[in-house]
Amino acid sequence: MLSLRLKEIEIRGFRSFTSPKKIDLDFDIIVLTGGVGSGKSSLLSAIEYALFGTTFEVKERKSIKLDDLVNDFEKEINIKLKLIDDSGNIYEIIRSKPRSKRGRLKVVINGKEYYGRDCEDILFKILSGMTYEDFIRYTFVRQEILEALIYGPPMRRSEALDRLFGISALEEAFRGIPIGDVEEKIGELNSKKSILENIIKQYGTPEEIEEKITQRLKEIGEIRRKKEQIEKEVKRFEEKYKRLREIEERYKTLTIELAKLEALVDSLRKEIDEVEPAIKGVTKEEILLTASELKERISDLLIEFLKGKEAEEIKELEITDEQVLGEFISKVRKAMELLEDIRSEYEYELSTLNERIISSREVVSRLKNKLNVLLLEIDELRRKKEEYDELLSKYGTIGEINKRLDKLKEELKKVEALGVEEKALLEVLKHTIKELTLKGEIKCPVCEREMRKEEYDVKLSVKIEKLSKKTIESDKKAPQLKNEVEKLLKVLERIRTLEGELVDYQFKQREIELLQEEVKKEEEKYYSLLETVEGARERLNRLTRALKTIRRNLELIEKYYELKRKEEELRAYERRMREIRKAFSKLDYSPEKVHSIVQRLSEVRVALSQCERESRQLESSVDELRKVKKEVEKAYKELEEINDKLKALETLRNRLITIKNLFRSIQKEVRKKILEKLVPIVNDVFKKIYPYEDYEELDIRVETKKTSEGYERSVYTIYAKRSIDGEWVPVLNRMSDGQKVLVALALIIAFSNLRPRGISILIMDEPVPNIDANCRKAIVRTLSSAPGIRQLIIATQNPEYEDIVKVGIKTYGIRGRIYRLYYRGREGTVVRVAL
Amino acid sequence: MASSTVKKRKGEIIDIVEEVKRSISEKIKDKETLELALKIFEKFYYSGSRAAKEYIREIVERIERGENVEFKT
Repeated sequence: MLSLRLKEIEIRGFRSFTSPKKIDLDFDIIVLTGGVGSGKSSLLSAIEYALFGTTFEVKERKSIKLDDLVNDFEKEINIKLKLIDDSGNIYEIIRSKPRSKRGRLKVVINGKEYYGRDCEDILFKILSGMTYEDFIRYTFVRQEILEALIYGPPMRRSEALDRLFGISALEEAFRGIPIGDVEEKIGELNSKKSILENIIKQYGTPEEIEEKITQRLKEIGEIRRKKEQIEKEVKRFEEKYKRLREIEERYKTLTIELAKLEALVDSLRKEIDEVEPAIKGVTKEEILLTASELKERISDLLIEFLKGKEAEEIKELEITDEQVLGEFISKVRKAMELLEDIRSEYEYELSTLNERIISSREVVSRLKNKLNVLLLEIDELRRKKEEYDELLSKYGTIGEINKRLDKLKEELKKVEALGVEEKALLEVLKHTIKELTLKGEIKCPVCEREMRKEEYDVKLSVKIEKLSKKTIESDKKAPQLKNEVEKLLKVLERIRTLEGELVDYQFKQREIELLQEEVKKEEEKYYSLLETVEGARERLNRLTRALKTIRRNLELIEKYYELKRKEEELRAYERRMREIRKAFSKLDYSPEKVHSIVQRLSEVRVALSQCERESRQLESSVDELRKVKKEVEKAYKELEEINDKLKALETLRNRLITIKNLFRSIQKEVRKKILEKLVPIVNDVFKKIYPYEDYEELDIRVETKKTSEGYERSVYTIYAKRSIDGEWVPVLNRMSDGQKVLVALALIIAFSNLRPRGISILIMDEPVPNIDANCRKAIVRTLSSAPGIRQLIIATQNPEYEDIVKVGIKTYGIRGRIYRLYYRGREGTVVRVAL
Repeated sequence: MASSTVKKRKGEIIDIVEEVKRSISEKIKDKETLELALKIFEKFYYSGSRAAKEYIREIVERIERGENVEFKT
């Protein structure tokens, strides 16, 4: 068997690797260090992908898809992994996978290229038949397996060991065989079987159904024969009925006509009865005479009202027989309509005249009122005229009065002046006398002449007396003159006032005259209208009376004519009724006869319909039975198939139960066989790598324990022989983490030796942190001396693991390399050689 | 991967698959049951639970379709 080891890897576009990276892997120990996300696991997955075209995350965990392995900034994965065997043969495994497309594999062996489908087989042969399952069990030891072996509780550790040994497949098979699915199918088929059995039970066997079909067909034949007989009878009755229906039409028409005639005769008789009393005792001659008179009367009226043409038309009509009465009545009606129109016109005219009379009367009344007012005014003026005339005759004209007034005023002035002079002279005289009386002699106050009492006493007394008389007269005359002047002034003023008032007198008199003439005219007009109205009313009354008389006479003639006409009509109806009754007796038809035929026809049709229905039902029943027969036959066939399937499924179920139980039962046996071979190898390895002296030998025992679910489970317990007392004790509870790592490595290496493979490498992703220097040395020793392992790759965040390389180089002269990985954004993972 | 290829592997001190098959063969006398058991184990071992279950369901479907099912490895 070839022992392969890794030589070199070129990665591009895989997970965190963006830009191409070529990494030399041709070392005994390689430690990859770096922080989280630096690309350590990506590098290990790239090796895994190159070898098997998949990764643990894709195939086992199913947490990602193959396409997710392609770097976000690249279009495809390109990995070239070089391997070398003991003979120095170089094997190049080249895998590429564009995004969203299938991956491609090329294998180059010592420069010879292999493509296509066979490539996977060639690769499989290169790896000496190593499967992916083998690879993830014994070559690529992941953190969770180591953790389960070192820290895990007994059950988990046992599961990890079972997985390592390949026994877990038996447990998975025990748990995973889907017997429930088989039983579910069996249940479904049993349900179908039950339905089919019910169908068969319900309808019987196909032979029984066929027997029923034959019986039904026989019945159908009998019914068809019966149906033919009934059909003949139906035809016979239908012909009879058709003939009667033809007669029936005529019968119905006559019946309807007779009924109508009877109704008309009744109605006519009633009408005649109503009309007859009105013209009882009236003879034909009287009617003809009345008509002739009426004709004359109407003609005269028409002529009177200037309708000569219409009068001629009536006059032309010779009333010698009853036959012309119809035409006469029509013409008279027409003439009457004309006369009625004339009468309406007269009425309208009369109403118009009346309105005019009212209007004229109002005009006369209004004029008379106005005249009365003027007459009252003229009376007043007349009285003033008389006063004026009287004043003029008494005092003269205004000029004369003025002249007289001027004279009186002159005279009054003189009287008043004379009176003053005389009074003054009288005073002088009285004074003079008084002085003379006293002095006897005085000088004349006027001429200053010497006067003596005796000389002038008498003279003066006479003068005084005269003067006194004159003064008295003057005093008397002046008021008289004053009164006269005042009176004349008043008269003058009155005359002037009257003159002013009498200015319109003549005009008013003229106005009265005109108004009186107008009143007279209007009155004449009014009376003329009255006369016209009277004439019109008289003519209207005469026409109304004439029309009334004509109408009365016409009504009589009309009633007579109507009666004669109805009597004629009645006779015609009665004649027709007699004819119809004769026709009835000839028809040989009666509704009873039709009813009887119809009833019989209906009975035979019902019988026919019954036959047809029965026939249809039977035919339908036969069709149904045939369908049922097919269904039952089908059910039989299906049942047979289901029984076969059920048998096969039940056999499968029983086999699966057997297999399932067997998978559980043989686990113990297989474990025992493996452990028998494994434990000595484990001890060989343990003794070589374990640097402490507390334990000298290991043993793996299997104990049966019950799970919380009640299942029995085999649990591995690792025992160690204590050096001090030689006692076998469960060791994992007592050891440090570092010691446990060594035990776990011993187990893995031993198992690797137990199943040697084509590829002799061990890859550990994040083994156990916090191990001491002794342990690290022990690991180096293990790897340097472990059979079957020629190359160790450790990916870890713990830089202390770098010591393993350093110790290996220094102590054992093995070739080692430390790579430090970093993640640089778009550039992806960067790999630096640290040692 | 064909189981025959697995069988061809040389130099193994222990072959789990062969060991299991040997045990199964000792326990099951019925040939068809034995073939089925071996096939199921191989499916679980090499292809995983899902594929193995799918294989059994396919058998059930074939029976349901009325096909003749024979178990041969």
